[in-house]
Amino acid sequence: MTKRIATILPVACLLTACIQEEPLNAEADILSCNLSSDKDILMVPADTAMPVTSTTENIDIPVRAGADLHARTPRFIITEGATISPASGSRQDFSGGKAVRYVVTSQDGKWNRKYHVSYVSFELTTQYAFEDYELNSTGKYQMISEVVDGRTMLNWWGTGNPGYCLANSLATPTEYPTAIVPGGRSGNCLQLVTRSAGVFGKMAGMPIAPGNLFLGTFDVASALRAPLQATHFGIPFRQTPKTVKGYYKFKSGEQMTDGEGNEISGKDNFNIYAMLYENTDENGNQVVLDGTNSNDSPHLVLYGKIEGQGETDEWTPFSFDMKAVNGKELDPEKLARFGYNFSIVFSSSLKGDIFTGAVGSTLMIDDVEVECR
Amino acid sequence: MKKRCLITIGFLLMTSLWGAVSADEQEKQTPCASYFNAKLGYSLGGTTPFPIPAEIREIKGFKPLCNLSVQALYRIGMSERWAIQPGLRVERKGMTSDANVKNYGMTIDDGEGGTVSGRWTGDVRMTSDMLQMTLPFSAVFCCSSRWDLHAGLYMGFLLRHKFYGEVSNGYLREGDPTGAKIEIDDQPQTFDFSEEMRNLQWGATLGGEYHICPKIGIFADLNWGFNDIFVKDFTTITFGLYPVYATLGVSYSLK
Repeated sequence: MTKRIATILPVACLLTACIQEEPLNAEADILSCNLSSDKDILMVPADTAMPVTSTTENIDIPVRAGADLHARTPRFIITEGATISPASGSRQDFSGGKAVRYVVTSQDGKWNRKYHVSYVSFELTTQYAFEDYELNSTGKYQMISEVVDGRTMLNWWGTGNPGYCLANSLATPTEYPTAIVPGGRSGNCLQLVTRSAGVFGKMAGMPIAPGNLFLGTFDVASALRAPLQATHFGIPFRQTPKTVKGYYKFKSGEQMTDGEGNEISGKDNFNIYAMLYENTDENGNQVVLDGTNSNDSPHLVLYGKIEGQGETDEWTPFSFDMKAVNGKELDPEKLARFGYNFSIVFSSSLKGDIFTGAVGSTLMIDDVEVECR
Repeated sequence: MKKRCLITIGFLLMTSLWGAVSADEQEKQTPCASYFNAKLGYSLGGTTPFPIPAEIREIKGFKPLCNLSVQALYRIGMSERWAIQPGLRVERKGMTSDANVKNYGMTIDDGEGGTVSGRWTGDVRMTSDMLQMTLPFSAVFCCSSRWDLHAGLYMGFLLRHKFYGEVSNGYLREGDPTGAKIEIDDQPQTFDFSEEMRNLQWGATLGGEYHICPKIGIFADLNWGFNDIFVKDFTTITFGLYPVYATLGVSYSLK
């Protein structure tokens, strides 16, 4: 027995005593923007600490129209030990829609990431033709964009595509759940297809990946841990949405499955809904609705949802009105200060949020318009 | 299972000690005679990178599997002091380790081709389990009629190999450290690299044996693997892993 212990000791020492010094960090992220120096021009004054997700390459800082952007000093919180050039807090000229390129270099000096930072005073538009997209930096999936006055807005539409990338790394861009494809009423249109999330998705408790598109951002970091919290709905908006309308085609996939991937009977349907909500709480803290609370948050003010939808292979018009909820009234002053966020959400499976739907369900959308008062 | 191994070894050690009473007869024999020798042992060790790379920040736990080894050796006396000793051994080498790593190459697998590769920072539990048939070949130096030392090489053919585990409490950067950040909490995600392992291993063996009586002895061996347990084109784990195991046990000589 002594001999055995005598052997364990050197082996244990061999395994533990040789732990080397901690390697330098290899990551090179902007984790968040500190915009306290821009508080007076921000569209939403509470947004001074703006988080940046790991897949973001273009950081758009929303500011009020007419703000002087010649000399701004945004600060960036970056990965520990990393360096940023030009320096965080340095004076830069962002006027005329100019994007400033910041390069973050990791602590170990081996990796870097490039970010394009701009101050945008473009207000969210209310007509969406779904013509444009850009591929992400690895060329795997589309990021749906809107072109406003010749400028490409990449940060308005969020999709679950970065999450699907984890489940099926071999898919081509149009095999992703969300894509812009030809065959619209005119030009391109939006195609949302419920895809299988593979065994990997099944393990993570999400057997299907419904096609989705929403005004807001998708945070891939929580895509596996808490998928419903990955969809951050809403863009600051200062109009009163009245009616949401557009055109659709829909075909249900063949076999419905539930959240555990078990086959169930019935047909799939799609979903479109829209919301306007208070983007700050009574203490002035930021409020962001996500997949867990977008239907029942006390911060909702207006809410509308498509009714009576079903399968059709012709472009079919839809329209629904935004109705007051929670007994709240719009505060015009708050509205003018961009105190509300607006989002429209499209999904190719009605119960996609609980991962129930049919693989293959296909929703095509074109020419969406938000009529405002 | 582990307990049963220990009891067996303990019992064999006891029996061999009783045998020591008749040890005096041994003194009269030539130290390096030719004879068959059977050994039963228990191996302890690990499949380890060497040196431990900086990506491994902490080893939080280590557990050997029930690593029994059975071998038959034939000692061929060459002179009074020297002998050579070919043999055949069937052995299991396995362990489970818990570690905390930083920026460690990882492919989380679903077993059906849907994988995510990248750099993992967080907890890793990995189990390496190999059953192999080994051909050891050693030179034996007989110090006395009771003590001898041996050193040599071995070649092992894997009959079964597994390397699997899970990651938790951390995040994966997809592709490289600048890729999408995927957080995984205390619900672990699994990986399995069993298919990426080599079928052939070789290494050096070094050890000693004490003959308690003419027929029964105890021995200790160190077997150090010289090639990575994974095939060359497996790049997920960025450093080589080598099996290093010490075997303790009893021997029975057919003299």
